[in-house]
Amino acid sequence: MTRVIAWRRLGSVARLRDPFDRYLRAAAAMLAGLLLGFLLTVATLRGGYGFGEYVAGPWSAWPQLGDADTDPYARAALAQRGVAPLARSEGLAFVAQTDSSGAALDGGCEYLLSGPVPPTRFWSLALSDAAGAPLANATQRYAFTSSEILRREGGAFEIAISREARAGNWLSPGEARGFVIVLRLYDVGFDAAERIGAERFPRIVKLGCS
Amino acid sequence: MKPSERLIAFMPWAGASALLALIVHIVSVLLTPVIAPRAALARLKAVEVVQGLSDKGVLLLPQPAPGEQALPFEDPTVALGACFFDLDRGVLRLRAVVDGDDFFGVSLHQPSGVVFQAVNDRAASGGAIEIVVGDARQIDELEAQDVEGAEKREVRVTAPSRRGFALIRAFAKRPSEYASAQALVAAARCETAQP
Repeated sequence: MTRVIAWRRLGSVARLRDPFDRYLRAAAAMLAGLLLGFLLTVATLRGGYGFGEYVAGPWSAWPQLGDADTDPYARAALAQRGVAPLARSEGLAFVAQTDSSGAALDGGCEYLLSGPVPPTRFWSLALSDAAGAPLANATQRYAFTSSEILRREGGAFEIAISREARAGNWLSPGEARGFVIVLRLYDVGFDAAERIGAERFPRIVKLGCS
Repeated sequence: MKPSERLIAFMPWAGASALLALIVHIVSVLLTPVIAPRAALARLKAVEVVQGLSDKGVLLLPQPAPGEQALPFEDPTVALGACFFDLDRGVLRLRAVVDGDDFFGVSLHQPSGVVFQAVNDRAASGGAIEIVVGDARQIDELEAQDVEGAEKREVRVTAPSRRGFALIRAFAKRPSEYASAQALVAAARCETAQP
């Protein structure tokens, strides 16, 4: 009986005369704390890899992932996703989740990726899903490298990203609804601490949606 | 009870909740690298169970493709191999021949995936990458055995964890070169040895 009364009192912000009230409040406070703590952890590990994000237009990278002294959030996010990142001396991976206007990449739309790539020995550009898996498509091509890409005179290039076949450099997201673009630079020719700007990175322009 | 009194009575409980939330948050973030069930080492070990190591001690990973990738966010244009170390059983000796002009790198990782050292083909001396991974005592023992004045070819690394893995990456410029990149990875040799 006392329990029932105590529960009712908790609901109506009871006075603290009954010791049961205190126990219940303590239990509620503890539960709330536990839940809040775990939610905070889940929320922080979902977003990215902790501090030190390098943003250039739609592209973002975490240069500190390549070092031994990463912060605890980066360590937790790596372990939780099962990722083994490129070391600093190997390269740097940039991920674009949006086009250059900031709209999320949509598998039903067509995009044109063009413009410069930051100085680097080799690069590759791949489509993948948000969890980092290549996207199934009929062409079975998942990436282009700096060596194989078709270039115009002067070295500029364009990559069409579309479900329908396109002439020239073409990547298909297949039937995926959303996707990300991963630009990997090997033997990076600039210091990541310089944070060179978006004008040195490829632009991703949406041409239209079906 | 007036509303202001209720608020005052509520404050200590809210404070206790917030403090507990902070502690739970910090502890769970710090523990995740240790207890995450699908961290990079666990994923590689799962592949090893299925296909085993090569006779040179290297786990040759499949080319990343839909539904066929050992680790997430790996480059489909890169041939990938892995070697494991367990310092309780001895040091890891890794030797990879660097051949050609394409990118080739070896990175060393803790079980959580965190990198602690890497060597790429540009830093390779004499056309090969040679790495020894050990704990402080094992590396000291190796150094004590060094012949005075002899040239040291290997890179000696003190690991921050007892277990972990090395990833070998060979870049293939074109799809037609992927097989030779894979062969380069397969030519690497990894062995566990006593210092």
